[in-house]
Amino acid sequence: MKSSEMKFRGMVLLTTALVLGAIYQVFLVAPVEEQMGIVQKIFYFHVPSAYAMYVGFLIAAVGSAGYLYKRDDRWDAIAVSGAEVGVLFCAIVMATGPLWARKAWGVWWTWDPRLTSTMLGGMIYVAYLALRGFGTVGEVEKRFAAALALAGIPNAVIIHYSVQRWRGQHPTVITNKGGGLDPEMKMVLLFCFVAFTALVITLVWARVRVERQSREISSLRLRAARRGLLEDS
Amino acid sequence: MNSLSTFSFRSLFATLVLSLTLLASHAGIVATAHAQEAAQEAAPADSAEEDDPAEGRSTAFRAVSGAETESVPGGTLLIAAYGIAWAFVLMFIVRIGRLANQNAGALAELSRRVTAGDE
Repeated sequence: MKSSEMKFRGMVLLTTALVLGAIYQVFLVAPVEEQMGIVQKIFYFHVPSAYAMYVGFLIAAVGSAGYLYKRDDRWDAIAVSGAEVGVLFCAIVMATGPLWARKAWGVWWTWDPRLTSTMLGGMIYVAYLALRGFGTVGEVEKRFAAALALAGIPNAVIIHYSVQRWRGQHPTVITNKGGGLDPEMKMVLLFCFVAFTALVITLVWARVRVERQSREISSLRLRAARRGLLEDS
Repeated sequence: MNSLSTFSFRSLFATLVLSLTLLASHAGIVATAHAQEAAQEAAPADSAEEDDPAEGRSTAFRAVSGAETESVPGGTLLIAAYGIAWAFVLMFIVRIGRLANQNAGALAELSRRVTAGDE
């Protein structure tokens, strides 16, 4: 077995162990919150999912910048993988948030600055994937999509600072001034952050591997066709 | 020409998605602004209550009739949240698996054809 394959399988095993550990910690170790009750436990996956979303979008932007600079397909594969994983975690954030809000605020959705900017950020990368998703992707589409992925980064900054700059309903628990977490809750949240870091790395890694394989096969098929090896006998 | 029309369709779709999002965001911001204005206009009527802060915070508590119930079931929401989150992750893993299988199939077919072509 190749060294890279061994490393990948090791990473998958580590991630599985961490994720199972995180589920155990959330449901059996973390205390129930005094005011909100059991629904507060959504927090342990909602916040790390938002962090994983930022990582995915950042990978998409770095991959896109690399592609625009070097015009190397390997960078483009990284960008597509990052965008897909970012959108996946954005979908998780957008699904788990309203379930928490229903209990905390009494509504499923409100046009809070953070909620609105997160939705906008998700849609930017959905548009990126839509642009890439129809038929064969050429050089022009790749460049246009790369620019779109880069354009999404300022919005990610807006998402992050929206709760500090504008008034809204979204709570801020992890701050320097207020908020705060019970020490046991903090340990569980840190564990979840570690688990989600491993999860986002593994998912991007797996997606990049498959994307690169697809491109190599396309390239091989083209070369074989040029030599007349693919003509039906 | 075909490539151009495909690209135009893609651009149109992407632009449509972004435009709808921006429109929805704008509508939401305008609605919030109107709600805040309405709240500010309503404020003078409540200013009389400022003389007695307790009146401003007055809340009526009423006893439940029948068995004690919770209107928003936290446990159900929690299970739904974790269920949705892991369903999304699993769907993504299944998708990666399918793409890998497609690649393996395409590689086997390519290898067979190339071998047949060499012979």
